[in-house]
Amino acid sequence: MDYRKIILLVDDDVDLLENTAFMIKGMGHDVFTARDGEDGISKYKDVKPNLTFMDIRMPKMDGYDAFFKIKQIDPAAKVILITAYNQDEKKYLKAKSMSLLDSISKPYSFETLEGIINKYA
Amino acid sequence: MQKGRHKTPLRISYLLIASITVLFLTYAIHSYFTYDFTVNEAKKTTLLRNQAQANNIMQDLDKYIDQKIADFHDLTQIRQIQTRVAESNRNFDPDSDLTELDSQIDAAADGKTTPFLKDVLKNEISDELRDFATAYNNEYNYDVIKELFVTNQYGANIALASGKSDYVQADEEWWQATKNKQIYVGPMKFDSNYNDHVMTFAYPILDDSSDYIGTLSVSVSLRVLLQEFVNDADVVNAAKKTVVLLDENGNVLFENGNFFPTETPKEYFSSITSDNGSFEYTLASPTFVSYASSIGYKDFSGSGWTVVIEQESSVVDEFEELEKNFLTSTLIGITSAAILGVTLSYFVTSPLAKLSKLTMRLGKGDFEAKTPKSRIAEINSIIDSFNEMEVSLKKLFKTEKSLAEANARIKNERLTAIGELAASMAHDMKNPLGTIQSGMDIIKRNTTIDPQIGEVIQRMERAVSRMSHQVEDVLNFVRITPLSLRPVSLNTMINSAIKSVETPKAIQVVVQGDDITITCDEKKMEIVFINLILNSIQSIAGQGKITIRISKANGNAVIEIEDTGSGVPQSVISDIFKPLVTTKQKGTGLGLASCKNIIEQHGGSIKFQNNPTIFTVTIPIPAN
Repeated sequence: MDYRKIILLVDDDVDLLENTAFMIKGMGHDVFTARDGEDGISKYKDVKPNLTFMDIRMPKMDGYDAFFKIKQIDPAAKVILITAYNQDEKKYLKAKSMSLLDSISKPYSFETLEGIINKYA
Repeated sequence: MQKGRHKTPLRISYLLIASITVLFLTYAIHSYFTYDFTVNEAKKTTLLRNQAQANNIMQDLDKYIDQKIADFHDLTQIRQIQTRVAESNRNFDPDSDLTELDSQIDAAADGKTTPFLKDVLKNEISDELRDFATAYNNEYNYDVIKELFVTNQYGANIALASGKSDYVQADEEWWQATKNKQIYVGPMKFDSNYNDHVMTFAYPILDDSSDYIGTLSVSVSLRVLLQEFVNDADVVNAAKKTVVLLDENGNVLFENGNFFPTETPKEYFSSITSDNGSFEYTLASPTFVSYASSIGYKDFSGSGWTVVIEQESSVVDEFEELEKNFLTSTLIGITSAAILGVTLSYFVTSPLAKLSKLTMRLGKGDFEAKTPKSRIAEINSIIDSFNEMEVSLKKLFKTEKSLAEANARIKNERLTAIGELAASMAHDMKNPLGTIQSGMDIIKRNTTIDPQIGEVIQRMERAVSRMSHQVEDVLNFVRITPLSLRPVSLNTMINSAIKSVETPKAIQVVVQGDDITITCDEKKMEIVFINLILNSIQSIAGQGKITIRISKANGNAVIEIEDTGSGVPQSVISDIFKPLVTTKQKGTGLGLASCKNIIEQHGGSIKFQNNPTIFTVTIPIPAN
């Protein structure tokens, strides 16, 4: 089993996105980034990541819709939603029913990310 | 202990009946005594009046008789008579002429034997006296003068004007009296010659030197003497009184318009003991008897007769009628008081009772209560006022309610707007916080850091932690999301909460009690305990202890968090679970409000007490 994982990060906040990518790279994984839902979907198709971190509040397409699309493309996709508290209950419940792996809250720490990646990727 | 006496409230109707009854009884008693007094007074008055009348009549009678006596006396003053009498005395031979005849002489007949007697019947004196008698009889239209004659000083009848008479009168008592110059008034007696009651008066005839020269005798019918009396009696009889004249033996001389109506004396005569007086006597019916006896007048020394006025005491009977009326009117009064009371009770008391029920219903907030109209105008106006008040109250309550609703809506809308704004801001802060957090992580892990710089970074991390907690507070409060329920060990959850809070070394945290597994949203419930523990820590200055006790009660898990801190100021106790209420500079005022929201979402409750400060969280344990 390959120790090195492919991680996809989707977030519209570039600073946070870059910092998070830097931390995960520091763990020794390959990191791809996307800045909105649509971008995230096309990147997912391209790179087939082992694990995707997806922010919910994003322009163009929000994290839930992007998650639903990805799940349509790849039912086995492993996605972690980055959420404060769930802004849209219906979509959250729907996501849970579509085998959402987990959700984490901002601001997340290095240890949180590391734990999640080790657990699911 | 002495208990206050309970007085039964009086009913208007009873009060009315009682007072009217008392009123009528007082009236009746008063009337009764007044009546008694009045009757006695009326009796007294009647008796006195009758007695006065009897006195008057008696006096009139005496006076009248006296006047008659005087009338006949005047005859003795006639000069002619005096002359003839003196002449007779001179010519009279007492030895031969004074011999009693075989029969009486009669004024109507002639033919007596003695020559002297011829003169007696046919002389001037007889003519003179006969004229007088005729005139007198004509005046009364009745043969009133029964006998009228004159004797000389020897007692021989020398002039007979009317009637029959003995020739010699010298042996008579009355003649003897006149010879002694006295006026004789004879008793009343029945004279069979005339078939009438007569009374005889005899007068001495005196000459110029007042020497006795003869006697004038006159016998008159009683009717003459009683003429005035009969008139008086008629007047009195007209007033439903009976006037009775009694002689000295109690025989009835006159009664009720009749002379000598009966031969038996009056039965009450023995009760007549003085000159005048009154008494009650029962004849055919109870009778008032008033009387006055003759006491004479001037020359008349009195007849010994008595005037009696009888009057039936039934004159006071009308008073007895009155007495019955008092009784009847009292009874009617009391009965009508009772009827009035019952009527009043029906028309006043029961509407009032209904009104009081209405008031009670109004007091309980039932504004639909209505009272039916009464037949009494005053009661109706009260009922109208009540109904108006009811309508006004209803409007007032409605207005107040809508006002409160409007206020609440405005407040809610504003809170919602603020909440949305806060949520949006809080969320937007999360990205920059995330960047700072991750930035610090990267720095820590990729550079060798001077220990002093390390401390700076730790402070920054604490600042980020606090900010993110406050942001979480806001979001927790604003966003009520569905619960993600699963079985959770209270012990584990509480210890996790304790660990996630930085506790100063001076504060000891203890968990007591057996572990309980509850079904809850772990993340949310942990926030509750984190908040409560944080509050306790912040209330303790310096040394202190926080005791967390887990127990079961009534199918609930009860978690008590007690601290030795300063407690909650009295001024905010009632608002402690309301949002934006805080006593801390660092607080958002949302912590306890969020706790309450979350606990209530789980069907539980949270309570608070001071001294010692204890927050009690109760969460239902699902059966099985």
